[in-house]
Amino acid sequence: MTGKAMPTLTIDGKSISVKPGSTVIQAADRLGIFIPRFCYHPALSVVGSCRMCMVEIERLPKLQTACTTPAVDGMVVHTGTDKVRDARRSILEFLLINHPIDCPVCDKAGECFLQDYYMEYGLYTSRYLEERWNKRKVFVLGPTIVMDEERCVLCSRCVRFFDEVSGVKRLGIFERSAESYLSTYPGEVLNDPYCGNVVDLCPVGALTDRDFRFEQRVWMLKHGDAVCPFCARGCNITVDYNEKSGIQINDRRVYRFRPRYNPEVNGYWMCDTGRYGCRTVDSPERITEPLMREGKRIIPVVWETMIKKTALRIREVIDQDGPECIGLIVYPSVTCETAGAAKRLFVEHLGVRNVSTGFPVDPSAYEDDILIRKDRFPNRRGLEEAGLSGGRDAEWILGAWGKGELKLLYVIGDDLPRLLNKQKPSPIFEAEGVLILQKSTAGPEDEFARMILPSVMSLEEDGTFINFEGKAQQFKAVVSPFGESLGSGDILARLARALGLDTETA
Amino acid sequence: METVKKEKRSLGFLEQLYVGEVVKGLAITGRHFFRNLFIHTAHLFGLMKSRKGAVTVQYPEERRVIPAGYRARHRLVRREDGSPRCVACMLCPTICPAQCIHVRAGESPDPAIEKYPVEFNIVLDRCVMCGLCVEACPVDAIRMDTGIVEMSAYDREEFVNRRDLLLGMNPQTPPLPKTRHG
Ligand code: SF4
Ligand code: SF4
Ligand code: SF4
Ligand code: SF4
Repeated sequence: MTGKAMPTLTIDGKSISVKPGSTVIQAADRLGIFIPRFCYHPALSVVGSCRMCMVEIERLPKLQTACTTPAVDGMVVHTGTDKVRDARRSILEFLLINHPIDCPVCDKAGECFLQDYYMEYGLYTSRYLEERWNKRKVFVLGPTIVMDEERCVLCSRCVRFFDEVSGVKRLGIFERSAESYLSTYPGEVLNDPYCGNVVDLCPVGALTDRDFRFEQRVWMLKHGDAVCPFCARGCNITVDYNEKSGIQINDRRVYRFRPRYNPEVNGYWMCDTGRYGCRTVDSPERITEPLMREGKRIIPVVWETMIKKTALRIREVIDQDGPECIGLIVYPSVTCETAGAAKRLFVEHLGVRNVSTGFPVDPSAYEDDILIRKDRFPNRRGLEEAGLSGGRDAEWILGAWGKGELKLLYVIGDDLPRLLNKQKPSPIFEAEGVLILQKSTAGPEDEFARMILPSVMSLEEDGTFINFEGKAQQFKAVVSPFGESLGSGDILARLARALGLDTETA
Repeated sequence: METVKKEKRSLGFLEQLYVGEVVKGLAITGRHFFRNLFIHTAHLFGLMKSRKGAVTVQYPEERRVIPAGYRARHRLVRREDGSPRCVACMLCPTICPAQCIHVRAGESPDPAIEKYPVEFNIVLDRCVMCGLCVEACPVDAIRMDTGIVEMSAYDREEFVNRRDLLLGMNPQTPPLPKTRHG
C-alpha cells in the first residue's frame, strides 16, 4: 500500500479510489455494485460470518469475503464470475437446510434477503434427504418482538445492534455450529426504546413486529418519505401505506413507519415511540368533520358554516372587547408554514398579543444520547423561527382564561405527547369563554370546546419542521387528509378570507 | 396473412322479389318448431325416446352436467377439525384482478400454523370468475368446485361472501344434478 494515499481498486471493470482502511464491500457500495450480504451492515461492526459476500480477487487463490477484505491499491475484484456464483449458491444451500421456506406466511417475504438471493442464485432442487430440524416458531422476545427460530440465519445483526447501538447486551447466540440459536440472555426481555430497529435489521423473517405482524403483505404497500413528528429529533422515516378502495375490511391506511437513512439526523435508526406512533394516523379518535356545540350537543356542520361562524365569533369578540381578550395557543406540533400563517392572521392582522407556543418541555421526560429528546414536539424551533414564541407563556394564558379575562381562546395543533400516552393529563381549558380547537384527534378538552375544526396530521400535508439542532426538514404529504379534515394553513386562509382580510398575506 | 376480398354474389330476379325468400325462411323455422313440438310432446308421454328434440335444456327443471374444472362459486376448504385450511397468506387478494378478496389475518393458537383468516370476504359481484385465486393458493384452500352457478341477490350486501359461508359450502358431489341425457 502506498502509505496514506487513497488506494485505487477495480471492481468489475470500474475503478474507484477509497479511504485507506475501507473494505471491498464499501468500495462496491460506493460504485453501486451490489454484493449480496446478510451479516454486513454499514452501521455495525464487521464479523464476516455469513460468507455471502464472497468475491474473486485476482492473484488470490481463494474467494474472499468482501466485508472483511481491506481495499488495497491495484486490487482487481470480480463479483459475478461462475466461481462466485457457485459459492453463493452453496452458502444458500447450507442456509436452507433447516429453513422452513414458509414464505407465503412469512411477514418478510417480498423484502427478504434470503428470498431475493435465492431467486437469483438458488439451486431450486433440494439435495437434502435427512429429516429437517424443527425449532421454536412463535418465540416471544419482548412486548413488541416475536421470533421464529427456524427462519434465523444467525447473521448476528440483532445481537450487534443491542451491543453496539442501543448499548445494552440483551441478545446472544448460544451453543455451537448447527445447534446455535439466538436468544435473549436469561431474564432479559427486549424492551429497549429502540427494539423495533432489529426487525428492520433482520435480513430474514426471523424477527417480526407485533404491530405489523400479519397486518399486510409488504408488496401491497406503497412508500412515502416523511419526518417523524413525535420528538424534537425529527427522524427521517419511510411510511408504508395502502389507501383503501372503500370495500376493504381493514380501515387502516398507514401500516408501518421505518427509519430512512439520514446521516445528519438519525442515521439508520428510529425509536419505538415514533415507530408505533403510526397508529395515531388512522386512530378511531381522529375527528372526521367540523363540529359545533349547540347547547349541550355537539353537531357536525359543513366547512362553509364552520368557517363563517368561527370568523363571526372572532369578529364579535374583537369588536366588543378588543384583541386583548383573545388568546392563541399554537402547539409545536404544527409546521412552520402553519405557524407563519397563524402569526400573520392573529398577530399581524387581528392584533392578538396573548400568544403562546404550548407548554414547556417536561423535565422528567426520558432522553438519551441516541435519538430520543425530552421535547416530544417536532417543531419548537420552527415556531421560534416563525416568531411566534416569546409572547405570553401558556400558564399565563390558561390563568387568564380560567379567570374569564379572555373571552376567546383559539388553540392550534395537537398535544402529541398525550396522543402517544393516553394517561398524560392534558391542560384543562374549562371556562366561560369561547374555546375554538383546530386539531386532528379528539381529546378530553373537547368537552369545553365551542367549535372543533379538524385539521390534518403532519403526514397528510406538506410542510417543514425544524429540529432541536436547527435543521429544517421539508416534507410532502404522504396520505390524503383523514375524513373531511383540512390542512391547518388552509383553515387559517379560509378564516382570513371570511374575516375580510387580504388572503395573499394570510 | 393476405386478406381476400370476396365479391358479393348479386341476387337473382326471384330473390330480389323478397317475398319468396321470406316464405322459405319461415318454412325452415316452422319445420323445426313443429318437429320439436311433436317430439317433446311425444317424450312427455314416454314415446320416441330415441329421437332427440332441439338442444334446449329445460332449465330449471333440467340442469346440464357441470364439467370438471368449471369455475363455479368459491368455497374455502376445511381441515379435518373443521378449521379453515387457508393460512391467510393473502396471495389470492394479490393475484385477484378484480380486487374482490379481502383477508384479515390473525395469530393462530397452533404455533405450527402461524396465522389463519379471521375474516375472509369474497365480494362476488366484483368477481370475474377467472379462477386465478384458485391457482395462486399455495395450500389449495380456495376452490371453485361447488357447482353453484346461480348467483343473484336482492342486495349488494348479499354478494359479500364471508368466511363462514365460504367454509360451509361443499364440493359438487355425485349424484350430479339430474339432466335430460344422463
Ligand atoms: S425468511 Fe425469507 S426465505 Fe425464509 S420464509 Fe421468510 S421470506 Fe421466505
Ligand atoms: S434474528 Fe435475524 S438479525 Fe438476528 S441473527 Fe437471526 S437472522 Fe440475524
Ligand atoms: S375468480 Fe378471479 S376475480 Fe374472482 S375472486 Fe378469484 S381471482 Fe378474484
Ligand atoms: S391464497 Fe389460499 S391460503 Fe392464501 S389467503 Fe388465499 S385462500 Fe388463504
